[in-house]
Amino acid sequence: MQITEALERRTIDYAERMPNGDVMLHCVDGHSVHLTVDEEGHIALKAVNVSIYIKPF
Amino acid sequence: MAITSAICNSFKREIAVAQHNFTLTTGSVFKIALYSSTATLDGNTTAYTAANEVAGTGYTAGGNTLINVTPFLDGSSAIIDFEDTSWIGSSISARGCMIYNTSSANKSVLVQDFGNTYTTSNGTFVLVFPLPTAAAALIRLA
Repeated sequence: MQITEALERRTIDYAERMPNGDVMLHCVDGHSVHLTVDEEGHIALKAVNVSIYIKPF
Repeated sequence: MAITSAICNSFKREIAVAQHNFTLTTGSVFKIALYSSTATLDGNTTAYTAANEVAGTGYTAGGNTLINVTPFLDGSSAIIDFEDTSWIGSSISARGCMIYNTSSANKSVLVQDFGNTYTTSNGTFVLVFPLPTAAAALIRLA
């Protein structure tokens, strides 16, 4: 998956800087996109996570 | 084809004839399987099916084994709950899920539609169960 696909049609709620310099973009739909930034400023997609809240019956 | 959230009708009868035991450690073994949007699951579902189940890195057919929370009372309501579960390092897409009982012929407990298809890429797919209270628990007998 590419960064463009990971972020396509997603609204970012907030961005979080990780202790190691990575960036986590938390999206309003429950996905979070983990980006790495190297010493030259190049950005790469590391992972796409998701948290789903199961609804009670 | 669609997933319609429901407590399975068969489960409502089965709990009355001791087919399911939610006790931690000594109870039944429950699993949760993920499904794509092409699955047909609803209140008439009676058992686990591999049809249209998710496939991909980090996901094993049949899904994750759940950790039971021994049922308890919150006021006058009995609470049935599980610990949250996750698929770490997964690359999968899912639209819904099914909880079923592997100790009782894979009989289904409930199915749920997530509302959208959710996707991970080398990431963690987390299912968070609701608070175990009379107002919000996954399954309540009031």
